[in-house]
Amino acid sequence: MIIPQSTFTSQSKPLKVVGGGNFTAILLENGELYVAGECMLVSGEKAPGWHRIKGLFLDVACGWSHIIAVTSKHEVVAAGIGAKGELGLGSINKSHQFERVIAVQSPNAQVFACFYNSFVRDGRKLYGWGSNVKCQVFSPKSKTVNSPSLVYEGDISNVCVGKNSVCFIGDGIIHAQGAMNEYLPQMRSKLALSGNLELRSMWTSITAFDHKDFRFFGSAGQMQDAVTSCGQLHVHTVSCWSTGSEHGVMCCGNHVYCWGWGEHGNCGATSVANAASVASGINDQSNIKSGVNTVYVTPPQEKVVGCFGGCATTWICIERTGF
Amino acid sequence: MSTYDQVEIEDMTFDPDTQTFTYPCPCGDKFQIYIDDMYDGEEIAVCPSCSLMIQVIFEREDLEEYYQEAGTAPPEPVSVAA
Repeated sequence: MIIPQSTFTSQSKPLKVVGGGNFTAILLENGELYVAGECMLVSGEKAPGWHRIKGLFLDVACGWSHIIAVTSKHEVVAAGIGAKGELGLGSINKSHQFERVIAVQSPNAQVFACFYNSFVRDGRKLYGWGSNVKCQVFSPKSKTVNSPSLVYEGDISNVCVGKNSVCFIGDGIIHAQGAMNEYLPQMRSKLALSGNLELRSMWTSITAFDHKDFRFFGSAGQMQDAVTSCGQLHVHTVSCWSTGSEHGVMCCGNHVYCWGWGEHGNCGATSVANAASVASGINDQSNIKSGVNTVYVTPPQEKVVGCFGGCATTWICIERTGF
Repeated sequence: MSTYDQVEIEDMTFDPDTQTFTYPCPCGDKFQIYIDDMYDGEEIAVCPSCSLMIQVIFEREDLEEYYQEAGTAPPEPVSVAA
């Protein structure tokens, strides 16, 4: 679809929308977790619509075909398919239900995932598992790591995970392991580490934002770096932003913009789009490599409270007064 | 030809039934390339759902183990009549 479609409504605010290869998960502020698409947590897998997953959760992340979460009982759980060890369940590489990976100590533990990897930040410790073909978990490289392995211990923030890579700030220094390691010198020289700095990964790149400027590190063959040259926008007004597999999304005021690879309509319609396509929402593939493009303008009774990217999908969370 | 990414053959998944290598595409589908085409020199895997392509990094002799896994042999050269 090339224009936004309403797909989920709730009285509780969505905290996070994350996408796997062919499924999406929504975590609500009240701890409820919903999934849609081809997710093994749902019997029948292709049953259409959103399905509530039993239990309450504090965080969630998705890789290509697996999902990990932190439960309200402070356990990291995993489900789905994990041929590279990304479930973290030892020799188990397929599960239709959440299985316990580890208990976490920190009440603010976070999970991160992309492609064939999972990571957990538990206080001062960062654990990782899954594929290690680019040394994204540890050196030397290996095909699979099927249980949590300590990646770093210290003061950790800004963890972001891409395809075969993990990047984070550890004890005031940027670290990048795996496929993004080649960009580490560039990142260390160009990024001033401040409390405002935020890092997000697409599959093959990292975007940094300090609430003044965006900076981009990685492959930009699909205009994934377009946001770094959107001089006409007041990026200091960005209220939220995120990245998908190869595109980005941000909200400034009442406008939501996308950029990067938009072949599946995920960066919206441009002025050259076919009018009938725009009216129907059906993608006419007129916006494949997208500059920073307006995808939604909120009317007065709406406010954007979150925006997220999945695999060629874009998600805008709107608070609607009078709902 | 501009490709989205370069991927080593060992990071791809081989299906001996279809004799096809696959690798996840950021659109949600999978890049595909047939082993016989690789043997004939093709190195570009395409996604059936989008325009992205990847370059597969491999040597011809790397294919031998996959032919063995599939229980098949590389294609015979086609003789051209004079």
